[in-house]
Amino acid sequence: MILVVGVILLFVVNVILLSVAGRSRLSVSGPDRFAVSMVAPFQEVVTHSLRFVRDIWRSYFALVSVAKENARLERRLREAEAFNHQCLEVEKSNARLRHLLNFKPAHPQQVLPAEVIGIDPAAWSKTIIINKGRADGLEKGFPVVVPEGIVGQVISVASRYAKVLMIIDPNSAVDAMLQRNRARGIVKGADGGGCLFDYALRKHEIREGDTVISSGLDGVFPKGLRLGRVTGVVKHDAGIFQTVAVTPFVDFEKIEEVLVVVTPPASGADAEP
Amino acid sequence: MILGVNIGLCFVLAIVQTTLFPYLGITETFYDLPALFVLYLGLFRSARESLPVVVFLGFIVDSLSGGPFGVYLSIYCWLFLSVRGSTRFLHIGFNALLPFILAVGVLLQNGMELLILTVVVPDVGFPAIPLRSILLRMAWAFLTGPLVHLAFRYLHRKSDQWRFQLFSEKIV
Repeated sequence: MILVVGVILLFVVNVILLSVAGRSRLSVSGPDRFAVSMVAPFQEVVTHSLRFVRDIWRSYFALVSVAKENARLERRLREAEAFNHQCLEVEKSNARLRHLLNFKPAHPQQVLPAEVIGIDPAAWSKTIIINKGRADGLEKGFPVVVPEGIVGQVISVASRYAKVLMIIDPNSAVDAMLQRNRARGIVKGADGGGCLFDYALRKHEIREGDTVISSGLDGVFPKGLRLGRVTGVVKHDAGIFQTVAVTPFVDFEKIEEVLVVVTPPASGADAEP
Repeated sequence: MILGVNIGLCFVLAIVQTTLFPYLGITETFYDLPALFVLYLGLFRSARESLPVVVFLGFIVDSLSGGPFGVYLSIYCWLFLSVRGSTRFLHIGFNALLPFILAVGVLLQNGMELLILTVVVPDVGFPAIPLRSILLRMAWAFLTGPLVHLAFRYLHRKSDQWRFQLFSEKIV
């Protein structure tokens, strides 16, 4: 009888504590940071060892397709050079027009490279651990990006390590817009490693293949960073919003190095007069 | 000494779970390795020795996870208590039963995870763990779990032997 009462009491206490912890999900305690600091160095060693073995394999044993890959990359390089030339022209004309309109220049972003050394043990939570922390100037809320687009934002910082919440986590939200028609919405993490472009008004015409970029209005992510591509649009009969599925540009399964933006914008409209 | 071995094992399992498994891309399909250690402790080791280790393991995995703090701590503690309770009527010395116990243990762990994240911490939302993933995890536990348990048992036996030798030398 005492055992049953004890188990019930333990269960009730457990439920209460978990409910409280669930509300303050992203706040991190001191012991938690201490545990990350203890485990992360070993994670770093294991990750480096795994990459070392993989690099040996790639450098010495998997050279069969290199010639074919080289030809393909040379072709892409030529295409990229042509595109780059066009971009330079656009940038110059953009600078001239901004000058004419008396716009302030956009702030250059200072970035810090970091390596991914650990991935969340839970399949339902999407966070990574990187090997840069407070000692490197990182703070909670800093955006994390890769050349393909936005990865997420720093949610907890230890002395030499930091935890990053990825945009595919259901708890993540990024103020965004479509590159083509500037329709606004919020990109949220969804099940299955994708995202949803929420709160997009029905009146906006959204097509599959549209590129979603950050709006900069959340004060966290710089404006114009790529988020993903629209892969599905459902316009419901009722309601003012439409359901838009977005596939991120970043391959979160293969992410190894990231860039932390150490000078996040104070507001998204920083480039406007 | 045994506490040191257990703490070391906790670290190794947490690191394997957060580095090697994602690298191999088997996080979705392979069972939670620390949970298997909890099942081992519940089945074969004393409660006095195991309970601090289970709490420590839950704390470490919770710290590395981005989810609400305490989810893994709760899951591991209840898993340990459930397995401990089941040893009263299960004949754990019967080796052929072990794969089934481990598969059911993995099912129990996944069930608790779903229950906690759906009912207790609804802010996180219903986790998308498809039935196929759970079945695959159970199958992996059925096939490879006994071998992992053998490794745990070997380590503990060796550690017990060292401790016994040290103790004998001191008496002599």
